[in-house]
Amino acid sequence: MTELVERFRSGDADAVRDIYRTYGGPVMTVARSIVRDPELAAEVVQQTFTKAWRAAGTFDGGDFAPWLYAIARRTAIDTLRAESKPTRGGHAPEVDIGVESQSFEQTWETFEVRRAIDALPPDEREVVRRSHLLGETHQQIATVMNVPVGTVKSRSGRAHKRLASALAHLRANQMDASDVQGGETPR
Amino acid sequence: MNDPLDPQGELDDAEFAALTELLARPDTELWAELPAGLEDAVVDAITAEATVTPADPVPLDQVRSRRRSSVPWWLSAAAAVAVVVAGVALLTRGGDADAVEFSLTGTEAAPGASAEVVLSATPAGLKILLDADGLPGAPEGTYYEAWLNNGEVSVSAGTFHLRGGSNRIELWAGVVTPDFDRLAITLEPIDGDAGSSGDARLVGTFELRD
Repeated sequence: MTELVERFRSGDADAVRDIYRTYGGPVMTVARSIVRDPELAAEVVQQTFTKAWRAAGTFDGGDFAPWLYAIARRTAIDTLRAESKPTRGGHAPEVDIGVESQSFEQTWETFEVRRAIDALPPDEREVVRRSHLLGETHQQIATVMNVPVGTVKSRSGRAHKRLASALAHLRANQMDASDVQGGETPR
Repeated sequence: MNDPLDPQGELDDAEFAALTELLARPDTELWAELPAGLEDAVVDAITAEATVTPADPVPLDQVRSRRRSSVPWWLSAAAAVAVVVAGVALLTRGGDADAVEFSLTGTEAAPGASAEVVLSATPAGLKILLDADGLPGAPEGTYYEAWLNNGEVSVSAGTFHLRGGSNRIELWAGVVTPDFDRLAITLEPIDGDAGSSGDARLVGTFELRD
């Protein structure tokens, strides 16, 4: 990753593409969770990567994801605040509406979940997408994807195990919170 | 510990419930698609800015003060490509034995623009005479800014707007060293940010003699 970040910092187009393809989805997720508007979110994504490139010299070689996430969240909040400023026409100010609606930890979790989803092999990702986003059954997914239902079940099982592994650090936090609250998550 | 590559392995109820909870986020966020063309726009915006202004180490706490990109993501692709293809050095000697003449080429953001430049090293600094052609006056709320670059840092060489009809501009820069070999004209919004927008309109390279 350090070598990739070095190439990213130099403006190497292939490195910029690699970074974008790895983190574009998670950054978009953070942007949408804060600014909501799809077009504004796309602007946030572009600004995030541009700012990250400008600041790449300060990256200390640790985990790139939280470093980029911090830039994305800050950029999204700044963008929303700028868009919410009172207009010269005297419209009522909409200052800070919704800006702090999600905590740093909440948007970080969403960033990480999206990163785990995007890291899935395409066929597994599609099964998860259809299952969770569209609410389709394994049979329906098998029909749409033109594969045996057993293949869908196998892909779903692999995908969920990969997700569980990739998101274990978040689930540990969940359990800690659940212990504190005495809560239990029904299946 | 789970083997993530074991297709036969099953998550227990608690694991599945926790995972489902993590996945239960607004669809518009978690599954938001990246617009077509955004990848190219990001790549082009960065490579364009890298051509004009290589990244400087910027403390993270200063990142927010940097200007928002003045190039909308859906337009920046066009602006960027030209920066790569532009910038042909035409090094000649002018009438002044110490002067260097060269041309600036318009980027795709200003495809019809060009400029002839004469650089003269003086005891006060570097004098830059710019004779622009086809470069429109800067829109209200914006201005043009000249930048000298040595591949690592950029130094402003002054600002102008060209809204008055004359295309001849005299600029000055405080750097007169041979390692500065690129000149770019960018369009800047009036927003109090001293950094470059990266929105290059004219670019070219030259060679100063010792």
